[in-house]
Amino acid sequence: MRVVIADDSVLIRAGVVRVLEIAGHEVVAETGDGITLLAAVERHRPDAVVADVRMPPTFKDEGIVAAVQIRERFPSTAVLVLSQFVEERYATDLLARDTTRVGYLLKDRVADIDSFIEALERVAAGGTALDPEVVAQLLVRRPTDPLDRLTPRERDVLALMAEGRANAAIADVLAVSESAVGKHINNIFMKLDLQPDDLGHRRVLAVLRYLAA
Amino acid sequence: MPTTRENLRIRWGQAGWDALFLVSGLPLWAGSMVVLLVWSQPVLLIVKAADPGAIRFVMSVVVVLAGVLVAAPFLTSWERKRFRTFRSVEIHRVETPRLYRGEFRQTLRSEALWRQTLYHLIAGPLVGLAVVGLTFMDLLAVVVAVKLPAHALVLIDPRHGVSSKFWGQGAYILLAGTATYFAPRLIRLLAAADLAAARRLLGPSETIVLANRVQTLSDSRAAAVEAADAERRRIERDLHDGAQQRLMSLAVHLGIARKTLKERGDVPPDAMSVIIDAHEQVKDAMAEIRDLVRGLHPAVLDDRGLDAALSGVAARSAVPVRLTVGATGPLSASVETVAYFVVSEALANVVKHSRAKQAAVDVSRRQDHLLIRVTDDGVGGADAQGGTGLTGLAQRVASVDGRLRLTSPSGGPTVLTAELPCGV
Repeated sequence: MRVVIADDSVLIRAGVVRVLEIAGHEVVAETGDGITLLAAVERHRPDAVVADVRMPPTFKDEGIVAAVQIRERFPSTAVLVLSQFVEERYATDLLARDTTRVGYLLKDRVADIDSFIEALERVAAGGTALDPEVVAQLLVRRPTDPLDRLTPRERDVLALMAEGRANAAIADVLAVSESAVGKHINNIFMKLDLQPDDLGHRRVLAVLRYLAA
Repeated sequence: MPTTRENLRIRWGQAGWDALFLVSGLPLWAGSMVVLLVWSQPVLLIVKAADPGAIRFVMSVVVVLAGVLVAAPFLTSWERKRFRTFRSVEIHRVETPRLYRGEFRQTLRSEALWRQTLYHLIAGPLVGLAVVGLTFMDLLAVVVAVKLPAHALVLIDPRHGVSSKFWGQGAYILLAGTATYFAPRLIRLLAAADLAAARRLLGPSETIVLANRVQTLSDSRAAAVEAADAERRRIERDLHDGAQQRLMSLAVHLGIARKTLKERGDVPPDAMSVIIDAHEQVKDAMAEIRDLVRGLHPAVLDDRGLDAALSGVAARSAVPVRLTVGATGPLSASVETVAYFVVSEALANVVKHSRAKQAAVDVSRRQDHLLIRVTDDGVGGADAQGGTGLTGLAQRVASVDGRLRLTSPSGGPTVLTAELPCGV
């Protein structure tokens, strides 16, 4: 897979490049700010972009702004945003229009090479990858709503769904059987009043309800 | 113990300076003393009510008053120099309207100018008269004392007995002598009176002084608070650009080592476990430094405001938190920073002391106040005076003129409320 990397820290860029190369991906361009990132994406049309949030010139949310633009202008390019801190507000910006081909992770996660590569590949394949910290941040904002009816275990399952994981992966993380996960998910759909029409569609709706402010 | 002579020398020495100081005022007061004499005329004239000169007199009073009002700023400036030179006392300048520039309305309203006029017209001349009076009395005492022995021969006539004039003059000498004896004290008293009057009448009024002081203090406090915030931002940036990146790079490299060595499979298990430990530890270190930096000053606070920044604090709390942020309207950076700090510290206290299962944070705008309420269902018994966390919190809230309240009955629940004024 062809990847463009944007980070103003040479040190971090080098680390990410190394991780990607170990996994057999090709880094076609490295940039240090949002504007050159857009130019590089336009020129190389990569499969995926890995971008930092705080970059020159203002060191605020350049990475988020660039990511939103890339998602608008180059919908076939997946975007994985990395940051020293994750903020639900940035996640909401990223996911505003469409929750596919997008990821938002703490930079710490790069150090877990396999799961980072797995997340990047999942995003490139059209999935989502949300950092558990972002999910936790979204959780604290729930007013009394149907989500309160969920048991703690069901909330765990829903959080993992929101991170973009498939049933098998959820079962792995929670150390339960896949059928147990399926049962939890059915309970979630029931408690969130999601009618059983299209399983995939319901899944997205559940996640959206979970993420909605 | 100083001897009487030394005492006298000290007293007269000090009095000498005071006298010099008082005499230096005489030229300034002389003009005003004339004015004072003019002022004494109306009393006489009002007695002779029908006098045609009355109108001329009223005119002259108005002219004199106007003259002093015009001259007051200049007289005051000279007086200030006099006090600086002879007393080393700085009487602070007060901006007063200038009548000669046509600032009539301001002049009528200027409390400071009228106070100055009061000094130049009444207080100064009165001190001047007292100084002149004292001088004459003392001089006369000397003259009489010199003449008396000669008179004594005449006044004490063996044929007619002691003349009553003798007793009169004797009494006068006694009186003048006493006055002369107490002259140093009287001079000091007059000098002190002059200084007190000048301080009260020529300088800024107590209200203005206090108002200025409050302004200065609140300015410097705001500057100190801002400087502290700027310092937190700087530390946050430094850690972000420095330690955090190095740790991340280290973690990535250890991660690569862990993965490749594990895949090769020929690494001794104890060596492998060391690498795994190192990798886990550096990840923990990253998480710790991230928590620390977020507690300092999260970048998102500047970028997206209080509401956005609070998600991170609430999510990080070890006790589950429900966060509700209403419409807060625009807030100043310092209020946002303090509000963030309040929530952050309050939740840290909940985790440390309350043994709560649930906490709630509510932030809302109540007219011109930002209301922050942090409640928990823990054991209660929190004491605002006890924990250092709460003291620091109260100080931080006070730094923006906010109020912190804590109710925490034994057995709970604990409710911490902070009200921060946001101005309008």
